[in-house]
Amino acid sequence: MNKEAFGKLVIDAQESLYRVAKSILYSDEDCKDAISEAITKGFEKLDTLKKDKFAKTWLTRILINECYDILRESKNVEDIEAHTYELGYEEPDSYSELYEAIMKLEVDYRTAIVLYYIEGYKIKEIATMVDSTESAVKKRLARARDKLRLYLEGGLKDEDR
Amino acid sequence: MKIDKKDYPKMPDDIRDMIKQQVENEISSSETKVKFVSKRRFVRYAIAALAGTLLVGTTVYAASKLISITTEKKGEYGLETKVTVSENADGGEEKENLDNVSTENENIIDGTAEASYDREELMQEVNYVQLDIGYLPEDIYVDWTDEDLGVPKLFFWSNEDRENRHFTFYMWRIHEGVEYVHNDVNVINTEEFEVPGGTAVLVELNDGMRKVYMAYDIGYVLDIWSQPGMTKEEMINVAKGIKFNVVTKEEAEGLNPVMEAPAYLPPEEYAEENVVIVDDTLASKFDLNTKIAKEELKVYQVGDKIAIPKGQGQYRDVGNLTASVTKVEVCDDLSVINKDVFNYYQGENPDFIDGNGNLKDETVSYCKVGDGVNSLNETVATETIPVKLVYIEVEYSSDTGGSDMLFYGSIMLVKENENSYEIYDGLSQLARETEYDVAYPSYYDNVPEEIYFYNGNDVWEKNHFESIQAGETRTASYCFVVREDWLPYMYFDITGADYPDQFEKTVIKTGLIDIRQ
Repeated sequence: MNKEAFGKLVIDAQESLYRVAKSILYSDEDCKDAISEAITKGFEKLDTLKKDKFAKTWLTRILINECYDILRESKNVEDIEAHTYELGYEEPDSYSELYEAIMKLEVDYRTAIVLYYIEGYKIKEIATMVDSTESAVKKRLARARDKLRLYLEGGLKDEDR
Repeated sequence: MKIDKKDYPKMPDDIRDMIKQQVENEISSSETKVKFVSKRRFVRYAIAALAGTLLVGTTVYAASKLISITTEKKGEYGLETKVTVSENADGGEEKENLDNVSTENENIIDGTAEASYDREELMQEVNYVQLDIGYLPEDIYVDWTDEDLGVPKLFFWSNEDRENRHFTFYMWRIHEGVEYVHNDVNVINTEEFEVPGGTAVLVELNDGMRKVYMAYDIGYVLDIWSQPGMTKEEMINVAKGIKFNVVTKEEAEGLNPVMEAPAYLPPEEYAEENVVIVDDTLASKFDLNTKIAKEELKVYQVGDKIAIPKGQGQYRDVGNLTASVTKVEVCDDLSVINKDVFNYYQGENPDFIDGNGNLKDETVSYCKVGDGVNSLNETVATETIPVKLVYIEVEYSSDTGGSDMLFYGSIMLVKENENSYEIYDGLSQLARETEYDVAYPSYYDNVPEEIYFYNGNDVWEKNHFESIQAGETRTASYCFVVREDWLPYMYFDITGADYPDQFEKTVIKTGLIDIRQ
């Protein structure tokens, strides 16, 4: 794949890249950094891309790693989730209930949920992107759905009153 | 609950503009940029060059042996590998040099280093190493680096068998006074051999994993950890084909690629920052509800209409929802399901399907776990267990209608007693008669495994019904792989609570459907 074709792919995939980054990093500032680094690395490593049809999956994987780097740089392992959610950047006043509920999940669960349900990747592709096995991804999805359901149930109960 | 991208935050315009500008810059540039737009600290990861064209020579400091690697057996199958910087060098004599690499590299041991080390300083130390990997098996490609609890590494994957054929590099700088110690268990073989600029020890474990510990004279250690799919010969050849050159941070920016090699500190140095303590006493405090009086659990039959209580999470958008299991079919092959949908979830040639399109039987290995020092893990029994495909259809309807409904389903194994229901453990006769610690199945889970679900409309909708109109009926289908001896214990859980090992509260509230065969 040449640079022009890859550039077009990046533009076509930009919304998807943002959603993936936004699922791992709460702050738009961090998302911007992660996406920018991913684009840089994507162009630099373009000659290592084995098959063009996997280019978007490949780029998304680079992005996921960049997002995890940013999380790790800020805090130690135990505080990653707390840090992500409580980061004090300027953000819009409110996000949808669904997004807020997703961001309460552990980072591995959030990544699995967004890749599967929002971006439509298959289990096998997700396993490649997050360096895991298919069975582990399935378990994450099952547990993520369960927790998401509980978070949303809790939110609705308040509204119903 | 519907998980829809339209509920996701929209990309801000400044990010959109940044992407557009950056892509234009990259395309219009005549050379690869090394560009850092991140506000964070400089950390540069890259992949190793395969052809070695970027590395025109290797700097080898022919010091007297500064670094030693030793091994010591611990018990029958334990091994301690130790790397130390054991004596001062006489001062390095440079053999050959890269034109573009500074000879005043402060990272190279020059024999004047002090024996003690400053912990704080070592924790901050970052060394940059340009790697030339002279040999890789044909199917292996280099992947980008990542961090594993603060330790950078390089991944190498097979594009044919990702699960079994891959290995990882880790690299450290070893200072005088610091001991690199690694303990392995279940070791069945070790071999020592020379590599360019150092010595290597290959360690083979009884599960097929291999490790190669390489100690280089200039004070670096490189570890390779490989999966069972890699052969011993391949790993030795990879180790022998490695050359590297240490560069400064400034030089690293201009070179491509480099790997980071932090200063090694013994694991206890990281105890407070990087170790996540898992409280395994929590499991013992968690009471599983594995038995329930018959009057406390509603059990329905196939064809019964079940009211799904309001507030059941994913069903909450649909009022007065009912569900009915309308079909249960036990099959040997996949002819009953939508092949395209199956391929979407499982791929074209999953390993559990034979050449005739039938399910492969399960093979279970029962193992006793050794301590790895004086005893190995041992397979004490194996058995082949026939499996079946269980296909289930569930009809959902609502007299008021609604939208955005998720559907779930799972199979629980339950034994009916005279006055109670009890979670069934699913063990075979052989498993009951054999003394073992762990059972390893080959293809499937140790519980009924869901391999397929479909909303009847579009596989991309996954486990959603976008809407159910008032009076409409929608049908979801599921497929599970079930061991033949489990068929008389199957109950369908329409909440899909995913807790097959207990009667969880949503199951008690909703009930189970008897689908025993």
